[in-house]
Amino acid sequence: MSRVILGDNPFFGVSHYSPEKSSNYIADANRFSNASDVIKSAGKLGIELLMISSHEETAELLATAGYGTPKSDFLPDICLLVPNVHDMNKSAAAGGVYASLRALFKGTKLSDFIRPRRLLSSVLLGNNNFPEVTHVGLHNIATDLMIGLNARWVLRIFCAVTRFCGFKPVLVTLNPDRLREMKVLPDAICCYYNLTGYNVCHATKGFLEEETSRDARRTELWAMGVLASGVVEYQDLEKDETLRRFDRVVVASSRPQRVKEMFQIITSSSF
Amino acid sequence: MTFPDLKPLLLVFGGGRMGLSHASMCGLLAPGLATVVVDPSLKGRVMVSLLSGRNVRVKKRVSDKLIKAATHVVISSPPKFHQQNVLSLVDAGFRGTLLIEKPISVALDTTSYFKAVHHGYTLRHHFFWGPLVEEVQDGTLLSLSVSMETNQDFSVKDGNWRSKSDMPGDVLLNEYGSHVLNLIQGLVPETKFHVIVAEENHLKLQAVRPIEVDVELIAASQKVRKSSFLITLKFDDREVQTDLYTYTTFSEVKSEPEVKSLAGLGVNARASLRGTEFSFQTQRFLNSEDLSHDFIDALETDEILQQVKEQMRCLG
Repeated sequence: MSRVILGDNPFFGVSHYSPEKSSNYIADANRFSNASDVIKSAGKLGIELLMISSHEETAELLATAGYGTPKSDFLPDICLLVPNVHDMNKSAAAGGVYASLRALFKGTKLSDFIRPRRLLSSVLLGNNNFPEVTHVGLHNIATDLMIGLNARWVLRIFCAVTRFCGFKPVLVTLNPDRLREMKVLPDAICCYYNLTGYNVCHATKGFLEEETSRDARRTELWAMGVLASGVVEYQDLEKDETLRRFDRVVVASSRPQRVKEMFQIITSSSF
Repeated sequence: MTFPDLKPLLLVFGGGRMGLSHASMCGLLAPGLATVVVDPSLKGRVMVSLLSGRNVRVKKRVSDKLIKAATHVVISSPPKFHQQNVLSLVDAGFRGTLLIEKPISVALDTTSYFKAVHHGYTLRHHFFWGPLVEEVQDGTLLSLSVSMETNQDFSVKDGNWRSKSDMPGDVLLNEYGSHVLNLIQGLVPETKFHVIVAEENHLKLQAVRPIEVDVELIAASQKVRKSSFLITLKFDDREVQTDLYTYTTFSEVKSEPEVKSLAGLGVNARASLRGTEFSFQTQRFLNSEDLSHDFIDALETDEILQQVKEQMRCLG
């Protein structure tokens, strides 16, 4: 699989740099067609995986890009991040934790309950049940909440259920050192990492140094937030020795050209 | 990290969204910390049991023995139970560190029993809070404005205690207004607000004394993905603006504004769950830092909230 994974933050107006940037993304009327162009050009470059969060608009965006149709042969596979945490947070604020968990079963039909695999897939994917989904990732808010509560069994069940449904489990976390202590084995751990240290928990660097070589690992390591919301110049990625410890790097941009430039750096022989 | 006792024990009143978040954040910063979550509802207890591991226990009621053993307590129950929870701690002889999520209707004298008292207004722990306070201490502040926009829709009633109010704007005021008023309380004490607009998803408050203060809260906004803030301070010689991600200073002396950002400064924490400010808040709580001045501010925030609500009732 390609070392570069395409991220989705600009497609949904998520910016960790400023709310203004976020509002500008959302206000862009061509957001979905632009996103569609970025996804298609990423596929042409050889990027094989799109990491996309479950938002209310995810299914619409994926359909716009051509997923679920024969055209999707040229598109990257999908790593779907679940649950829709923005929606869950809103439900939890209005109706409590119970209401937010109930929201997970929103798309399930009564008939699903007699087919466990279909029921679990429905809970996992919601209305984003596209045939191109190969990986399912647990959002960092959910993973880190479970790590803090020491709920190892919940994370293990997530991995087991994801595999039972035919997908590869990915755990997204800001606390990778703590996740490793829990001895949960997903197919990949995706954590925040960048040169400025923004949002990178203190133990992450030590965790990366202690990690075994890429070839010896049973669980892949993916890096996200590598540009620290645009503060790190993408040319600097080339000089970053720690970044080389990761198996894959998630990059996101609203411009195909920028994705291409980052792709060239990360897949270059010197990297 | 330093703990006052050999065996730290965290007691959390209320197993809802914030109770679980506090328990988890404490667990992230202090691995192996023993935690007991107290929730009278069966639904709440089942939920906490399902979502937690071996070192988190769930109880329907709290015993005096358990309270005595606790070193840290978080009260994240609905506000009407806050004082009752505090009194049960006093009666059982708790002397450790207490965090009350939003101290509403808590008598000050009861809190003098504890080693340290903290509140859950996280903006006070934001990386840019210190610089804002310093700006106000060093200059002549002429005006302050705070605006907040969220996609959360407060016209949707879910039967939960948070949304149980028929007064337009009340839930928005409790959820976000309280944080904003607490922030203002720390920068411009004794501000007296007038309510200009009070609707379910729109609140506008104004003050002219001691300085001009404007507050606008907009909910159900399609323009934002989550809550976003904009705080503007005007001084006689400069203007400071922060959206809590960037911090910009416009001054007549310099032609270009000076911009600092959390990303550029590489702001991070030891462990993370819901933003660095929540990590910093929890770290201070676990360290039992003396934040009594902040807590008094939080109690005064409650008084301001009640004054604003009184005006909203009159408007209604």
